[in-house]
Amino acid sequence: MLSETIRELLSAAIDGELTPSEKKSVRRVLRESAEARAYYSQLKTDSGEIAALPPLRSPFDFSKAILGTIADSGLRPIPPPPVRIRAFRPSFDKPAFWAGLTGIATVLMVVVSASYFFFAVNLPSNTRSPSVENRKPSPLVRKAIPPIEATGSPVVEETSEEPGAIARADVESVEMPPAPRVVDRTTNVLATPFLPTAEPLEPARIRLSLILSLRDLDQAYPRNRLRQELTRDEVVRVDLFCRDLYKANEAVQSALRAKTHSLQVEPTVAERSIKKNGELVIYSESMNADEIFALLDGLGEEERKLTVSKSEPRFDKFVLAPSVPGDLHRLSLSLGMPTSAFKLNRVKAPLDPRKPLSDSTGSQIAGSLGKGSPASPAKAVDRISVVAPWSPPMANPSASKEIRAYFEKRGERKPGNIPLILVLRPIS
Amino acid sequence: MNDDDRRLIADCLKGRTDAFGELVRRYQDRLYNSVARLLDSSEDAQDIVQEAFIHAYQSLHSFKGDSEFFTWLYRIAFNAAISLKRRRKVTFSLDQRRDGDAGSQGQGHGLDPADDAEDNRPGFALERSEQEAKLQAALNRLSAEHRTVMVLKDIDGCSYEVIADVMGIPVGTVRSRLHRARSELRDILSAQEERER
Repeated sequence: MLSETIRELLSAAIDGELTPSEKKSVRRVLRESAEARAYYSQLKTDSGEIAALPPLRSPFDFSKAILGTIADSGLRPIPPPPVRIRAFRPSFDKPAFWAGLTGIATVLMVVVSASYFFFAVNLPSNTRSPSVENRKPSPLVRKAIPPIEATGSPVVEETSEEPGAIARADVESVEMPPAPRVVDRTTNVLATPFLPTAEPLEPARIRLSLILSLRDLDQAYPRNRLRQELTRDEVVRVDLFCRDLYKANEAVQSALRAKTHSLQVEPTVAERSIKKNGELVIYSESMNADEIFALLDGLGEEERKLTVSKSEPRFDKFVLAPSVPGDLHRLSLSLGMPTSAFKLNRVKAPLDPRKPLSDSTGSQIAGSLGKGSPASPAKAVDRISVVAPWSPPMANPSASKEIRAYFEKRGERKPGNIPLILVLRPIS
Repeated sequence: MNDDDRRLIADCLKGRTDAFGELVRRYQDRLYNSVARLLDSSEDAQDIVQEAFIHAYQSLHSFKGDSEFFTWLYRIAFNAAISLKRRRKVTFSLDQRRDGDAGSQGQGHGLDPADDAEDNRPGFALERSEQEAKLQAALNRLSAEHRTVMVLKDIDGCSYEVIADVMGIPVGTVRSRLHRARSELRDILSAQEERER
């Protein structure tokens, strides 16, 4: 029976990730053990089969969608945070501060002392004994004295009546150091604050969800607020809470039909609403803000009539939350389409004719030509909505004929229309 | 990091978003293939790939260039994919088609668990051979960490160092995890072969 260590070595051997000593061990094991050879062979076969799986190609060119998202959302690479330098504020009352200061002072003292003794020991003797009688020209001075000219007489006398002449000769030969740098003494470094300029604070602007009752839409304030909120996002999501999913579903569908909407209703919706199981979504790209408002207002009017006639209301409150990208992602789960299939209020960047076409252009054109014939394409419907399960979503919504028919028939979205995600949620 | 990628990233940070488009076209297929094999869902893979590229674009300043751009991109995508898998706790097979009525199955919410009993497994594969479907089903049954390391090694051909970088684990752990993943895969395939007899 092979040990785990051997098995792991054999697995690493398939990947070629062995050290030289491990390679020796593996060769020995394979030579001596039939079980090891069989195991190695099986691992290699399995690994090879996984590696041989055909590569899955991406269904479309992501670059267009991603560049579109970047352009439309105004995304930019987030700059790195500024480096904040903490100001040093000495804490005179803390022992640690004094201990640190003492340490620094000690180190400085040691360095200064050592430097003094080093240079004191190593400097030439004439600098240590300044007696004129005993002074001999230092090697530096002797070097500074130019050699004796051909005339035979030195340019500078080695001994001079003026002791300072030797020093002057020495000084004259020394290269002048560069001029000291100009220091701006107008700025008092110690008095200048050491903190970077603080950026002005911007108050965080948080949008709250709008929670209203359909019945209250006959009042001025809720109407005005709803109208305002409906124009703020590129996708409107309304969660409409209902007391009876079946009746609520029927009411919304009737209201849409009254506004000449063609409805594509997924067959499982009816059964779910009868069984009051789960949540439903109505999605439409055929209404502008005013029409969405009119839809909700109409439902509210119906509710008020039910209240007057003392019948059981169908709806409770509704919530209009600020749109988030997760809404479209959630919708894509219910309708089985990628988020790029939903026609948002985005202006596509025009094609740059200077840029080369992508590699997949030819196959895309061929594919689109193939789809359209021989049958005539589906006629676009002006006003169309789809009703589908929201939660739990269907296992394979893209296989639904009704959902596919919606996407085939919806046509181009008119300017001003806003995609509406209306979720019917029973109050549990 | 190779010079082309370095140049494209530098151009992108100067404001040329078309340079980022070039990076996307360069790596989208490879990334999609790995993520789709990991999640076994084309739709999820599309979302993850797009999210990964957008996240990478926004975080370009934080990319230090000490690894390949693709390794960094992989790390972003795989973290997102693993998070998605953990949230879902189930997988959708590209092959599976189920009855959409959750009520009859008694599931109150969420997504139905994969049922790979013989009579429920589809006899079709959209464009897949039987062998491919069998291997993908076996991959689906591995744990998230084992599946990740197998996809990165056997499907994408990454070295142990790159896998360690992507997953944020030591190289030694990559080796032992790969060994355990292969053992587990072998057990699953053996069990499948037993059932088929």
